[in-house]
Amino acid sequence: MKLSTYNFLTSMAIKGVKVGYPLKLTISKKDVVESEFNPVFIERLLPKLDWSAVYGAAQVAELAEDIPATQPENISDDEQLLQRLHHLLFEIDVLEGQMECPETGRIFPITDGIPNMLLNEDEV
Amino acid sequence: MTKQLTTTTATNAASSITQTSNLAPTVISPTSAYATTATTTTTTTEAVAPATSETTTKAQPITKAATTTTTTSASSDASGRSAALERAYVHDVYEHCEEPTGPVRPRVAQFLGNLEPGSVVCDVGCGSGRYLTQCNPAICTIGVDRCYRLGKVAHEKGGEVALCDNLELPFRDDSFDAVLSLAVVHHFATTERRVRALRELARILRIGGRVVITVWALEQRHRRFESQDVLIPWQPPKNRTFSYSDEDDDDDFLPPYHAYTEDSTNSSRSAGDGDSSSLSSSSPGESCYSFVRRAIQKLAGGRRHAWFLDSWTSKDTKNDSSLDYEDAKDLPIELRRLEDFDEFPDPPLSAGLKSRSLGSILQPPPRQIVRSRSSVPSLGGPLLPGETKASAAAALLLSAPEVQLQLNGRHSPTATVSAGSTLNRRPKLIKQKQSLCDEDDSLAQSSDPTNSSAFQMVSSYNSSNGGVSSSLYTRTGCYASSFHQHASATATPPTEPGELTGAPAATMPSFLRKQSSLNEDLMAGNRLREKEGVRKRIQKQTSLNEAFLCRSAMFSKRLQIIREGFTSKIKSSTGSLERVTKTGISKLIQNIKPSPTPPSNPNPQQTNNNNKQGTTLTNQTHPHAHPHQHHHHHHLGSNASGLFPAHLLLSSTSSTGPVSYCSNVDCSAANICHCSAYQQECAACADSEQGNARRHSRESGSDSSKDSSLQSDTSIESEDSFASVIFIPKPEQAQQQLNYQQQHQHSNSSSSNSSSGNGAALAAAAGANQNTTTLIATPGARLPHTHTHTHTHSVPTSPLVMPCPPTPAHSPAANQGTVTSPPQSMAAVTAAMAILTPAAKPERFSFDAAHIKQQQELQLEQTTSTIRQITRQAIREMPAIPKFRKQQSLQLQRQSFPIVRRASGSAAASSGSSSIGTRLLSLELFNPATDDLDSDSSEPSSPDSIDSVISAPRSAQLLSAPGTGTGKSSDESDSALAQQISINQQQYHKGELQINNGTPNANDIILNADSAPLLPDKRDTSQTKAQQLPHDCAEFAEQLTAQLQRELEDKSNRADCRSLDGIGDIGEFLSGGSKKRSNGDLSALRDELRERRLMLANLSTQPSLQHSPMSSSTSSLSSQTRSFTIHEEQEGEEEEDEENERSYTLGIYEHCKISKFKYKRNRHYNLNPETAYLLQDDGDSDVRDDEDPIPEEDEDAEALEARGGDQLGEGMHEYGQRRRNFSAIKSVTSSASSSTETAPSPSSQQQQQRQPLQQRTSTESLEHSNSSTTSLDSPSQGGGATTHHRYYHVFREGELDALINHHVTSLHIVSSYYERASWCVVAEKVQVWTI
Repeated sequence: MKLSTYNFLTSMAIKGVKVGYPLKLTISKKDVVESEFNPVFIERLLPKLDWSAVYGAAQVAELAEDIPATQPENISDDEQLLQRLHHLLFEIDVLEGQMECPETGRIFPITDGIPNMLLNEDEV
Repeated sequence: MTKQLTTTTATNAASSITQTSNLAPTVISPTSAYATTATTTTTTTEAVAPATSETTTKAQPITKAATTTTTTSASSDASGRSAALERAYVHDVYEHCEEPTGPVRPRVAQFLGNLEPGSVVCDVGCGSGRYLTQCNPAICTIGVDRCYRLGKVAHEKGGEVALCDNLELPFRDDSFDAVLSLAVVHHFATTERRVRALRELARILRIGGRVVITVWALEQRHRRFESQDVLIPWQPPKNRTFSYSDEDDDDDFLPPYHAYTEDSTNSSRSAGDGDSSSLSSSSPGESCYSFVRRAIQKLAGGRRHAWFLDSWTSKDTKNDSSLDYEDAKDLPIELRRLEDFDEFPDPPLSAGLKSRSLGSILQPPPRQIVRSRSSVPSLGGPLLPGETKASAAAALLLSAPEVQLQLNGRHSPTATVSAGSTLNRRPKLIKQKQSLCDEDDSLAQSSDPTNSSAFQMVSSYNSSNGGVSSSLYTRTGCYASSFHQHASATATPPTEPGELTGAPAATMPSFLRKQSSLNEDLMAGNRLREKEGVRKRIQKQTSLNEAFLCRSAMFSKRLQIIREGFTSKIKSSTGSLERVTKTGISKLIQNIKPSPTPPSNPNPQQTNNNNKQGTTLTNQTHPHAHPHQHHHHHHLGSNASGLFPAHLLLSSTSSTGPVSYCSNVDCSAANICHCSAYQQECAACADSEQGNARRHSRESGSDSSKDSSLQSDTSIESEDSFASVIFIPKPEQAQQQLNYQQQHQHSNSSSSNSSSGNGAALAAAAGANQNTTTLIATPGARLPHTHTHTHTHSVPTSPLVMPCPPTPAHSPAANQGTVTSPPQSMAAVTAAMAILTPAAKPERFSFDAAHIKQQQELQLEQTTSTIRQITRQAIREMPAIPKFRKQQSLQLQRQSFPIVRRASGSAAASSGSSSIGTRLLSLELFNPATDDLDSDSSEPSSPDSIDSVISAPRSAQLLSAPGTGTGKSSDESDSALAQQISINQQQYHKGELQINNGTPNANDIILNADSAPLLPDKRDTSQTKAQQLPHDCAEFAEQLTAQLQRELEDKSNRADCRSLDGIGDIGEFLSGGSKKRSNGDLSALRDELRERRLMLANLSTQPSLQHSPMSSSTSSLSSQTRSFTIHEEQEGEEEEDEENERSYTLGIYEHCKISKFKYKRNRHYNLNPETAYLLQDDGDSDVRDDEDPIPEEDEDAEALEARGGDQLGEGMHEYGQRRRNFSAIKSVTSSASSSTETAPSPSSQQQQQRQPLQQRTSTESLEHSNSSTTSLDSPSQGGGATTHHRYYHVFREGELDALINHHVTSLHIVSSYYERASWCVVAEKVQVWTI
């Protein structure tokens, strides 16, 4: 699971959970996969991302020093930051870990890089 | 209950067992709430649960929710059902089926390519991730799918994948620029869910974002769907070309259905046919489809919620033309709602999941049952449904194993339903009911929660042990009942309680093991138990039983004599039989009414015995007399000849019981377990019946309504209940009651026998079964319930009896007893379902008024054999009897005749000389017949008794068809039949064992179960014989065997001319034998018996063939319902026959045929067709009937062969060839039978009868029957590799657009187009302002 995906995941589908975001990520095993850097792509993508979740992911990924806690104003001008964001969002693949619902503590395991967001019937 | 459903593979069974165990607790509760609906829902949920558990975690919660919701609200049920369906037919399928990666949809690729860089796309249902990485490198794509396997594939391709459900997308709102939903929405089973899915797609889509939705189109160039809700078979990965990708429904793809020719000639399904059409499809593969369809229907149809409404509405609009499908497997399955949804268990789910057979099997029986209900209005409207359900369930259970759980699935659910119904409706039923309820509960707990699981369990057991599964179910029920009974009234706790307690119902495997151990214990302790039971109940009988045991040889001789007498009587007294039967029935009814004072505990048995004997003497006071007779027979053996048969049977069972048990044990531990279970059940039943039954019956009877009282009576004490019950019925009801009474008597006799002879286990079980049956019968209106109860009880006994067959030659009496008893149980089982009708049919055949007798006989048979097993056995036996009667030439008939003769001989010997012989006869289902005969018979008491016996044999074995023949002949015929049956059973057991080992076919399982029950019966009979006719028993047995052998020889010789000539000859033999017997020419009879014995011995060498039919009959437990319908039809035919004097003889033959048909039906649906043919061809019935039985036998033999019993198969082949020869003569009938076998399915037995005619053309009756049974029972058998089906809701043009426009306001359709067999919609999310 790329951290870009993590940015979109919520547990709001769980019954009683209103926001369910961001999920508390725990990475037990990760891999770094190189991918082509496209600054335009990152720039266009950033508005769709939740920066707090991005920063949280950076913290979990031990890259917090590379990512500011708050989204800078003119990020499009900071190619380095875009590079770092690219690395954070698209080159770190979480192979094993889990995500925890902030409201219910429901654990969503990540196995083989695939988060299992399936819910049981009684959880919906 | 659901034992008979065992057709699934061992693996499935194992899984099912585990599932059942897990689910059991939950299931129980639903039964209480709504017997029918709740059970169905629970069954569905259960079925679903296993599948879900296997695949995903959701399954469990869903199942729970379903279980909880089912009782509460229909809507919840529907949602649960739809979810289960999706889980079973979408999620699981994708999880297990590899789909080819098709080409990328150009329009979709274009859509993705046109997205702005940095767009975030969510591909919902990404599958293998086709669109995740290729189309546009400048976009961020997240694929989600519910299938872990596909998700992994997509992840390996470099895609970002998450597992989630389209209904609960784990994404923030308004977060995606584009969403793809390709070939996903059509997998949702209901409009509600489709809308939810669409709304979820819209939720994650940002304002202005676009979503691409594609769904399969109803309108396709190469595929045509007659329904919008279809199950599309998933071709194995190997055939990827043919399989479609879920996401890509492209025409370009090698369409799985590309073969569809536009020709509509061979359309397997007609749009208008509805369920029947789908089921009736000629292609062998359709069975699976039928299962799936049924399952789906059940799932969806529970309460007609919205989910299939679309399909329903749209069905008629477009799919008038049927397409020819090259491969049946490729045919999509249409999903249609079933109105009978409640009645149908959930097996479909399980079947759909992976075990297919049971569900389909189960489902049809209910319908049949329903029909039977209609046919038997007298029984009591309200009660009937429950009873019918129970009976159906039992039948289903019985059939399931063979059908591969066809019966199991259905049976289990039905059983649960019945149990629930019984509980709900008859909460007051005393111990019997409790026992039943307990059984149900136990089943429910263990298996009920998951009827499917129970079925699966059954199937597994069947597969492993064949009969064991059925026995287990019965055992569980019996155990539960026995436990309860023991707890309530520990009349005969000696070994039974321990055994029963030892094997808790919840743990089926443990039961088996325990049962096996218990069986051994029972074997060893049978004598002690018998003694104790006899002392308690009938002190005198104990001595007699022991004597019988020691003097089995004498019994055999007597039986032979009786057989001879039967033959002679049959020949001479066909006409007289009719009169006698009619008069006897009326007399019986009258007697029953006047003699409401059922004897005390011992008295009931005595009355039963008397009834049996009473055929001659106590026709008027049959009810009382019967119970007394039974008791006397068991204890004293002085009861009328009618009683003797049963006693003889019991004695034979008791005597041969050990052997049978041994054989069972040898054959397979599972069998042993079954046997032991049966024994235990029997013992428990007997104990409860004897001890508690009486008390309970009285108490419950008083407390609960008539039905409850009757049931309770039956359950508690057959004797008491018999008396009371018997009196209750009115003329028609009285007939039914008589039948029931007869059954009760039989059961009582068996119980008494069991108590006396086997004492604890076997005898008790048999007795319990019989008692239950009798009790049930008495309620009349509540008969169904009682039948069900009796069925359950009887089933175990029958299995016990079955084991006995192996030793028929050695201990003809015992074999006969066992054989006869199983038929009784079978009859009872069938009676429960269609008992009334069948009974009426036999009555018609034998006697116009004989309906009661027939029913009684049937009931008795059914009662004797435990419900499922009994049903099977009974069915087998029944057909055999008809065959014997009609065509004695047929091996089965021959066998059956010998058995009957033996039994009758013993009875006749006892009765002729004393009442012992009659008692024995009476015990073997003959009691009712004897009663009827007695009442009707103008001949002396002994002949009357014989007649009565004969009548019973007719229904059961038909050997006695000559009915008019002296009691000896009938007795002999009975004994012979019993022996034959026993032999057959043995053979079957062998075959079953083999089969079980090789193939866990339901039939095999059933057979095993039958064999197991038979053993107990045999033991019982042997015990009873020993008690009553210790000395004579051996003689009778010998005589019977000799006669049987002779008959067999005659039959073989006459095989060519069996049709009419054979029947006439048989009748002559019977009549001659009866005359001889009456004249005291026992020596001649003995000679004949000896010859017969020799023949039997020879046959025993070829047991497989003969037995095979039995096994087939047993296997087709589900066919019981069919048999019922057949019986009804047959009854009609019989009635016609009755009109003519010959009609009596013919009727007898027809009865035999009917019974055969029943057996056939039970075995395979083929029997039904035969019956249908017979019914249709009443005028030609004689020859045709003869022919019919032959084909049936052939089918059976074929089935046996197919089953894999090589040895048996050989013998079966021989028999089958002979039968085929005969059948060739009357190819129509045989074809009909075959067709019936093939068509047994589902829809309606009556319809099946008609269908059989059409299907008659099918020459490969055996194959069809086997295939049908196998396919129905266990898809695994037929197909080997399971075919996965995917559920599709194919969208009509504009349907998706309308769905979006009406239900998803935030989406605005940008474009809608048709591409690659799919409707594609591109919609844009718009801001919706809500004021």
